[in-house]
Amino acid sequence: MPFNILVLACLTYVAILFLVAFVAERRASRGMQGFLRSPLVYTLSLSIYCTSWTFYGAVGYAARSGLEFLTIYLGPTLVFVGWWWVLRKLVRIGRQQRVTSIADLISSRYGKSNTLGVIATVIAVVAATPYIALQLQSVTLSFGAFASGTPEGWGMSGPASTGLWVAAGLALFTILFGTRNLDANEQHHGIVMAIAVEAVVKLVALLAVGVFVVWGLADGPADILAKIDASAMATWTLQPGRWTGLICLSAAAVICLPRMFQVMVVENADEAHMARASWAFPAYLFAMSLFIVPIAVTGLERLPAGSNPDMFVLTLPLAEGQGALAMLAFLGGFSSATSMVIVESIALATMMSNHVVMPVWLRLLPRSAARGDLRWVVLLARRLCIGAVLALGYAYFRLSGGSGELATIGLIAFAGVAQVLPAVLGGIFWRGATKAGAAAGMTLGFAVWAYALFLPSFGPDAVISADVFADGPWGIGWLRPQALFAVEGMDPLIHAVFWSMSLNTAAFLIGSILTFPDPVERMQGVAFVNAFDDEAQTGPLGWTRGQAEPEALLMMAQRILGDDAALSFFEVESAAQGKQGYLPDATPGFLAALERRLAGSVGAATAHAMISQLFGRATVTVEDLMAVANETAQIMEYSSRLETQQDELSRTARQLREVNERLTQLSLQKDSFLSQISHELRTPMTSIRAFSEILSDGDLPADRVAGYGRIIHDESIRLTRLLDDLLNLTVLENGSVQLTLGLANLGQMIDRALAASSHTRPERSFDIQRRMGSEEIFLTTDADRLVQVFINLISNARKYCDSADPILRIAVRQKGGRVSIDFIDNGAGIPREAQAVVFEKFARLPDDKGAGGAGLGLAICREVMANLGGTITYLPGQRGAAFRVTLPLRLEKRDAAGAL
Amino acid sequence: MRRPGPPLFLARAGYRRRRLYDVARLVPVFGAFLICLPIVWAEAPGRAVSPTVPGHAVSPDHGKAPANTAEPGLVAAQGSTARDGLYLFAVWAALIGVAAGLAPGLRHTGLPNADDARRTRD
Repeated sequence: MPFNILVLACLTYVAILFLVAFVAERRASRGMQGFLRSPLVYTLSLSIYCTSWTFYGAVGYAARSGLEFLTIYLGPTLVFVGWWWVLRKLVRIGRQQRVTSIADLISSRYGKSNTLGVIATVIAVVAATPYIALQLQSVTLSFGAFASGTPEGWGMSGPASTGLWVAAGLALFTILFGTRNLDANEQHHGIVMAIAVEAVVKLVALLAVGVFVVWGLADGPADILAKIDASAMATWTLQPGRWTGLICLSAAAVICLPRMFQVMVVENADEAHMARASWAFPAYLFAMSLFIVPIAVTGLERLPAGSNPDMFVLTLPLAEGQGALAMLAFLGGFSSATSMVIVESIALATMMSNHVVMPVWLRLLPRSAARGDLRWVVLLARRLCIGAVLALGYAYFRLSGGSGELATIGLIAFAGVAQVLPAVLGGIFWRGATKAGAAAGMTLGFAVWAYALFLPSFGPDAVISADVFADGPWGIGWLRPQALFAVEGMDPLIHAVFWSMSLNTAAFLIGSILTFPDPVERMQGVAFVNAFDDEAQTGPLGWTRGQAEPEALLMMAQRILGDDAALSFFEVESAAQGKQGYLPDATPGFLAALERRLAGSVGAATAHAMISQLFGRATVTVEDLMAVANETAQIMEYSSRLETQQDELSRTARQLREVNERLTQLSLQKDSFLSQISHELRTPMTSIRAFSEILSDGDLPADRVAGYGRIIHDESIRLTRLLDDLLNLTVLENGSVQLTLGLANLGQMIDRALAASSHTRPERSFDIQRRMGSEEIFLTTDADRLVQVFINLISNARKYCDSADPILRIAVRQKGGRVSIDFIDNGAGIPREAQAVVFEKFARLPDDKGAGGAGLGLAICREVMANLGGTITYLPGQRGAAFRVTLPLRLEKRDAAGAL
Repeated sequence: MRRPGPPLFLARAGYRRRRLYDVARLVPVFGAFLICLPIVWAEAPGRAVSPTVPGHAVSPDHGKAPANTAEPGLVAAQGSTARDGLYLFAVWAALIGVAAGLAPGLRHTGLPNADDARRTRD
């Protein structure tokens, strides 16, 4: 087939892809995303896992190593059918945190650390280099396979220059495709659609070749099975180490490959699509693998010995004269290579611009965050990075000689990207993972991989000299690149994977355990590990120092998101704050939202750094730290708080119950008092009225008049006393009483009180028990008021003590600065239910003695004592009524005031 | 006569859903086991009788023609490409089938936070 037609076919195919991408972008920009964002397109876009390694290399792999090629597809199958473990969480986190790449995921998880972003980027770029070289090599080989049968031969100077042309073409293609604009979400609808189309093309092409082989060249499956058993491939050597090792390696790679992360997490439109992809993507891999062995067997059987098995998919139809089928196969291989290169280089360019170029740019030109045209810078950086990635791939292709087996090159890349796996898995499942641990693990793993696998892949004496291979560096035998720690006899690939991953994981774990994360890191750790727990999503860091001008923020956002997008974002945020116009207040919530939005375009670390430049450092609030604090501590604190609250509640309830009881009693007493007081007032009034009426009638004997006059006088005295008591109480309660402080002897005061109260029921002879010695105390107080209290208490005892031989004991005690005087009689005492209310106004005990008080005495006592800075309480359990008066030795003016 | 009613169990749907999550977690474990199974019979000496296709004996000249045992130190036996291939593809298809059966149940309930995090349930 003429070489020119081949090139023309390629260009036509690319033009069709462009058209597909263009239409998809148009529809997406009009919001017509129905089909574009369907699970089918998502699943098909995941098929960029199948590169030309699968398309061409798998057949070669099968021809060389039998069924071992299946490991590369069985690992991802296990990861996808087990999506509930890892992928579900990755997708959720990716959407929550607006992650732009796997380096961004790591950087964001470990405290938005750009250092880690750089390490992950370097690993991804270096590991992708052989992989991109693989694509270049396969496209070059496929051109060669076509051209070798034509008279013009290569038509060009050789594979090296073909490789260069392919690399340049792919770079141009990717730049035109992938960096047309800087999307807010880093989602590329057009590219995803184009990849879906390419996925269909490569599947159809491979199935077509397979069907042709099974039913065209052989007589159906049974015949093929017989041929397999009869061929050189009939037996295969299952090496347990390689079998399990490669399954694990491919499982790790499907999570960590930058392009897989890009389509799986970054381009994901709906988390539910993952459920469909969990079986549909393995089914795609299944279909891709189904005819690999038949093609390999038939190729080995029919093609001349020495032909490259990597090209069987293409050379078999060519040799059988099926030009159209060969063309389809060629386009399938071309699709595999181009889709991989496009997405891989976009993913890598995003990482490089976000984690390397932008931070350096912001460091060198700090003011550009507010002034320079950043969109232009970002796009240019990405374009240059795409060029650089392809240039690196081409360099590897040239250095490695362009002759290696495709599968071997691919496995080197797999082992390289797998080095970020411990940091990723540790980051999303283990809160204890720290920045230092992740950095140590990735660096060590990467170094071991480079030393034991990547650099040796250039061949002896290319980078590492043959002496080092044989004897180790500086003659240290146990450091030989392919026999580290003197472990010999392992397969070199498994050897490198084993040591790099073991040392990587060990360094990650030890580093994490020994170091302490900073607050941002801990917060991000919580948000990532508890991605399914909405309560843990406390939101990103709070920007608490409100200094940034919203206008400056808007200008910065416009330079990254574009004018329209930035303005509408600000307008929405402003409306959410209840403001008109485009400038919301720079609240922490708004800044966090803005940071997330910017992170979707330039990565978390860069977005954080840019806002920091305008805004000063972010601070972690106490609430944030609380949220991060150990859950156990939180729960313990919470339950102890509950316990305290419960105690307090039950205490309050008890108090309320007591108060309620007292209030009920008071209300009853008040009722009974009202009838009492009206009776008390009424009785003297009635007699006064009656006698005064009699007097006013005249013509009474003089002695009668005198008698009636005395009665009227007595009754009015009684009335006056009652009214005096009431007045006294009011004054005392209002605190407007005037105290006359002076030094007084307690014993003398008690003497006075006893003398004064002796008129109360004078017919009863009380036995007064006192201890004179203890009463020799001088008090600074208002003696008259205190005596009044004593009189009240002694009179009460005289009135109510119902004992046949009444005894009143007066006991004085001095303790600290206070004196207590107990008045204890040997009567029946006060019933328990009445004790609580005896000091209330109008409280009167059932009065069978007819003592006839108004029930104000003890209330007055209580008020007096309060005015004197002391208390009066009822002492229960003394086999009689007992009252204790307590008061300070020296009453100061201010104590008196304070007691009110 | 009293008929035994359904066992008393509350929140039946939630319980079923959590068991579905358990199955979703277990599928890759079983899958890995089945995929690694060829290692076991690869190490079985002789291999006169096939464990998967009874009665199908490997012809002796296939059995002792090590195509390219690159690592002399590795002890490994030879398998039949056709038979092991069929076995692996069958396991693969079964895994896809099980995942496809589980997917609808997991799609709608799968993403809220009900099952994860610190809460442990039956």
